[in-house]
Amino acid sequence: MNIGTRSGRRGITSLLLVAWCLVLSACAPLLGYPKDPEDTDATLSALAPYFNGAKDVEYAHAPPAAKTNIRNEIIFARMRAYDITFADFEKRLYGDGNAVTLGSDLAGLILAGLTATTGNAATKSVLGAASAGVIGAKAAIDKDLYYQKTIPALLAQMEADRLQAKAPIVTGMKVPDEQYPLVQAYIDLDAYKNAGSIPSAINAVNKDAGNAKDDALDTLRTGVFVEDTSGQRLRDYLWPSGVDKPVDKAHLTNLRRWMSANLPTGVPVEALLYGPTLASKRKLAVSDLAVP
Amino acid sequence: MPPCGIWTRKAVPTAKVAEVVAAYRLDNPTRIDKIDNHNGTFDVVATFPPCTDGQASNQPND
Repeated sequence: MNIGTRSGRRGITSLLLVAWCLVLSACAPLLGYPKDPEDTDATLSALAPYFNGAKDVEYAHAPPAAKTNIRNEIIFARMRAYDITFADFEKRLYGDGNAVTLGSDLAGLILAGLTATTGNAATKSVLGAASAGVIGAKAAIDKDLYYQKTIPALLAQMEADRLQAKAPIVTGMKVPDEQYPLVQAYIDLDAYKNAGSIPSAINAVNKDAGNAKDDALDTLRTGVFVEDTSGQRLRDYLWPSGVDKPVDKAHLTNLRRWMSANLPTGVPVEALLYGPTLASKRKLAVSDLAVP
Repeated sequence: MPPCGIWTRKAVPTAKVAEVVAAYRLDNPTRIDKIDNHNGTFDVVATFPPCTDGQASNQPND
């Protein structure tokens, strides 16, 4: 390897770093949140006594009449700290996704452009490899992280979960310490803190989706017999010679294909033919399959 | 995914029971029971393999 080539590579590396920094620094407005006038680092430092046990000791040695106020003070302080860290987490989730996406897109484009227009074969080779690396890294980051489309949904779920977890704490703060001691408050505060996590949000979203699917199937699972003209036409489509004769396999295949595209999975053919809640689906199947 | 658990068609007129049974058989139930309601109708209960997700929907909801 000659000196000229090494020098060229150092220059390219510098160029890449400068371009990268410029692109990322230009991405600040893409974070999606206004600048916070509060010095949250200072606030979190001031809240340290509520996390390092100092206030717990004060609470433990306080007379019963003072415990409620100290408890509420601790709860307020901890909720404030959790809110600050959650807001920071939220901003980073949005902001980092934008910076990675736009930054690597632009850096990739710059390098690809330089590859096409600059230098000798060795330089082109280095630039081409760098361009591919940046674009490849971005693809990996996009796949590995939860960014882009899923983040808004997860954040919305986190917000909802945090509100739900906040309710028992607010209720508890209105009653005396004997009825809502600090130990209980800590349990609820932990739930509040964890409600702002991605794993918790994913679990909640999956559970909601699973429940909706189960509800849909349960509705279909049991019902009174209904016979309408669409059901009769579908029956004759499946058994042109009568139900005591073999089913028309080609028609059955067509109907199953239609069902897989239009009904929840796991619904038997019988439910489509005679289920009371599927009249509109029967009609649609008759139309889509051109059933005589 | 094939049907799982128990599916029930209630109040099937006697003359239509064969149709309902034939329709259920298309999805290969492990058994089919016909319960006479003694009012000219039957309840037809099709039992499919147990649901693997363990959800409550394995059971009839009435």
